[in-house]
Amino acid sequence: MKQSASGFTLIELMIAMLIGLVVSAGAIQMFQHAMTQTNRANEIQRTQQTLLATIEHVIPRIRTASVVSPDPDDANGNGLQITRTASSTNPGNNCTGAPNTAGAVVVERYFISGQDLNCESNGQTAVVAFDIVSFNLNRLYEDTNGDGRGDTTHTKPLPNSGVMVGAEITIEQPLVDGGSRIIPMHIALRNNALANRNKRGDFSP
Amino acid sequence: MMNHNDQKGFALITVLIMQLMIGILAVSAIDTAILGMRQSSASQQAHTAYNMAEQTLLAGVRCIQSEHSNGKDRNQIKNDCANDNLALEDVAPRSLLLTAQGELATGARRDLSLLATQPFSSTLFDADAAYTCFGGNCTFSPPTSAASPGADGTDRWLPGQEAGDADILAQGCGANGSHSPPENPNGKDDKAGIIIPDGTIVESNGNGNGNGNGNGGGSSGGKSQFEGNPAIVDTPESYADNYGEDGELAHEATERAEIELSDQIEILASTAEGSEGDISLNESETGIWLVGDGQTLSLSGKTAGGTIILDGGTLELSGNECFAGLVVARNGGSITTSGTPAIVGAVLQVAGFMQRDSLQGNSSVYYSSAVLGWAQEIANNLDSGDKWSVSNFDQTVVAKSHEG
Repeated sequence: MKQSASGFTLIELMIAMLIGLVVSAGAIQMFQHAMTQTNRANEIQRTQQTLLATIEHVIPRIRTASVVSPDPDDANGNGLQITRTASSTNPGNNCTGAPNTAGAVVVERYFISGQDLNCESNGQTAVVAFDIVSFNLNRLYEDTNGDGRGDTTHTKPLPNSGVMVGAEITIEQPLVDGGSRIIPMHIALRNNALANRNKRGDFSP
Repeated sequence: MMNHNDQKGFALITVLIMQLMIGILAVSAIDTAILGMRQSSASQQAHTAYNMAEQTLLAGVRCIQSEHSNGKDRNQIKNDCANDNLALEDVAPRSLLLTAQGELATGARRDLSLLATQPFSSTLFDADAAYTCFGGNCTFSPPTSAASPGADGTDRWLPGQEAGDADILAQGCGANGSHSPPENPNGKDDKAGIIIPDGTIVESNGNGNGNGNGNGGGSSGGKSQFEGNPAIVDTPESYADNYGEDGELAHEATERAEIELSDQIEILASTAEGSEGDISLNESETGIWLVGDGQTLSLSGKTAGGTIILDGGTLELSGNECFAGLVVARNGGSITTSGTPAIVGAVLQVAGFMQRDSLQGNSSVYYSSAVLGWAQEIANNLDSGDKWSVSNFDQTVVAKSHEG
């Protein structure tokens, strides 16, 4: 009776510990993997939100712009400068949040400082978005025949004159595990396109 | 040893706990999914609202253009083109602000606006004569020399100008000698030299051929300082013969012209650059200028062009300076000249202008349809001809719903 109550043999214990070790090693591996995945998902979601916010910020401005050009203070032709006219009835704010004067010409200059997208307007500077590596005006689409549609594509160096009806903006964001990705975005300069199409009376849907 | 009964219910509790944990996980996953769905649904609705507003806005512009080409005026356009989703509002003497609203039942909404600007009437920029003055106190003193016409209704170009020139001032009409502008081969042949139905042409001493108020009819007959077809319209009767149906109409036409001209000048003046003190135009400067009472506008170079509104002010021309475009005047605005300057385009005015001896030397007014068209383009600041222009497209985010 006494013998039957004796404990496990050493071999049994060793096997049990080995199995336990293997199982817990796998579990730790899986846990670490899950942690990485979660972090990665969070980072991706954050960059996506940044991207969306930046796009939502910049699209209405470019749509209403009369002139878009690279940042004039940038020697390499990077950055973006938007020139637009504030509405006479609902002037809104400039990119730094300061109120516009009704009907005034608003100039907004976007540039990267560190990894932040900054905007300067009317002598003030504000951070628009974090974690953006580059923010450039890459292409301009000019309407040379005045029909409100872009027919000539300009790449860098971009011209200073001409009626532009479309622009390609590139936003470069860092990836979680190093490197970066460039997202191109095409926006119509509605103000110029509508004015030109109106000249030809061409508003057929 | 454990009793079998002691273990009873343990499996059930374990399963319940596990179900609870799985349930919590599932609910949080569903929450995330619903949030994502709401986000994309709100974004899609915002785009739909934007597109609706843009459609409404474009329909509004189409409506304005078609009403305008059907001869409707501003107020008719405002009444006819507005609807529940499109408001038309006066914001400037010749501009309407179109505000289109795109709204979905869920509450997503976008407002878009656009400024539509009325073109200047081409009738203002297409005078019937080189010099036109309506009103009882109009006086015109032609130049003392017969070497060049005081007012010439022959349709001309600027000196040095050729068909299709984009910048018609490039040749420098002042430097070229403004007294031999070439005839425009495709020009109009029904422009008078001077229309002054209620005023008087002040004959200069030594001219010798200035009696009578009759229609000159040609460059050689009567007054040598006027050319055109007809050269001179200086009585209500001759005005009625040429432009009205009967004698009575002449005065009506004059009155109507006064009102219309005054209205047009008002509209034009709202666009002009006004400034304090005297104005001096640079060489080849273009624009619209408003010269108020007591102010003087002169040229620092030899050539300038566009539209000058003399609202009581004075235009001073000297030497062989050349102004290309339209000069309109009212409230006693006048032109003072010395030497041999020229105005190529047309001069229009309502009463009280061109005082005696104000036009000295060999100064002249030449009619030019090409220059007037160019001045109209400068005034309208666009090349869209007789259309309303659109600008200041604006996108306003009014409200955004996350209802579903």
